[in-house]
Amino acid sequence: MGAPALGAFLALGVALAGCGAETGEGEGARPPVADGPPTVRVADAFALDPMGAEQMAVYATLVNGGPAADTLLGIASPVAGSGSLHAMLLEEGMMRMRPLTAIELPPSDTVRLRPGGLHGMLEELADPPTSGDTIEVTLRFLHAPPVTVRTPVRDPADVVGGA
Amino acid sequence: MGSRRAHRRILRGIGPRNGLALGLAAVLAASCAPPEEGSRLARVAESLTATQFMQPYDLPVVTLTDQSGEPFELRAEAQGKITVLYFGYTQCPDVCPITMARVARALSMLEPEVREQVLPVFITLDPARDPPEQVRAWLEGMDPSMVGLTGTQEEVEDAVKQLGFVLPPQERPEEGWYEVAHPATLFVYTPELLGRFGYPHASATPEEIAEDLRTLAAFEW
Repeated sequence: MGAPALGAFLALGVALAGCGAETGEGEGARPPVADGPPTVRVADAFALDPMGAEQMAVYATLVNGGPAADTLLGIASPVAGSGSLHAMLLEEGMMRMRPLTAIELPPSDTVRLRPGGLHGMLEELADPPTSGDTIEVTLRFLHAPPVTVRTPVRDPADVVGGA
Repeated sequence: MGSRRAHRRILRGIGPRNGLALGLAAVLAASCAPPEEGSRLARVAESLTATQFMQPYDLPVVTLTDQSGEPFELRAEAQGKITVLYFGYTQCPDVCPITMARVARALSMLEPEVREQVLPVFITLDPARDPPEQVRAWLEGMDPSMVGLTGTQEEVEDAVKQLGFVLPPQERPEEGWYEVAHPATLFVYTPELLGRFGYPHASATPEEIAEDLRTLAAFEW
């Protein structure tokens, strides 16, 4: 299966999982509680110094505090022409990056974009930032309003945790 | 000698007859003990953060192009060194810069007499986007003393295939970014040119890598 097809398949899976919970259709789905607008809190965001490359990784902890599932649809930044979401997979001893069109955020749960795992990638960097810089990153969700975070750019050697 | 005193301490609670039996067992055990060489390696392997592979990898027989555009014969250059080897590509946003930056940080922690025994090597599996000048620029931001190798697609693939990796079919669209599959492991070769050790997900800290390199540098290979 080609990468785009796999990405679409993964996105479909996460989107379908999200749909059931939010509309209340299907057996066992909880109806959304009228508790206020959906929000996703973004914490501990940081980006990696692209080391002169045209892409840079973005990580964060996403907290969906609400009773309904949400979905991370994408990331963007003024420093980047485009953004994308990826999963890191280990296949036959090789590292693979798989594009995702969405990342599911289950209700009352935390999803971590982290080194070696799920992460965002800012692409088409016209003037690649370096460690010590701070960039603005906007995360877009299916239900919650977009969240813009000031994101420090860090030296890859200082990153704790790996694949 | 201290060992004789300790020996008597152990036997006192056992009694003469059992002591004799134990003594005979000890003599038998000693004669069946693994050769000194094997247990010496096992002891150093146990002290490492790096994993010891069941089967060591051979260092690939390959001549690639270094970041100055010069030919680099890997096995010849690795003679007498501890080679730290990673395959990746410079347009990799996540694991490759993290891994090589950690290696660079580890190298910076080493005493000069240890550092000079280490050969850190990065081989790109993406020569299309990684000619020598790109590899040089990428490594320069971390540690310009690390060796970065490129070549033709066939040459770099030959290197990784010699380690037994099967590369998946690679899509290289004309426009836009694309990913390149690469081994997840950070390999460590001894001066025997045997890849006995490695970090399977390249997740060791710079401190752990540095300490392992000190241990390996101190070992009599």
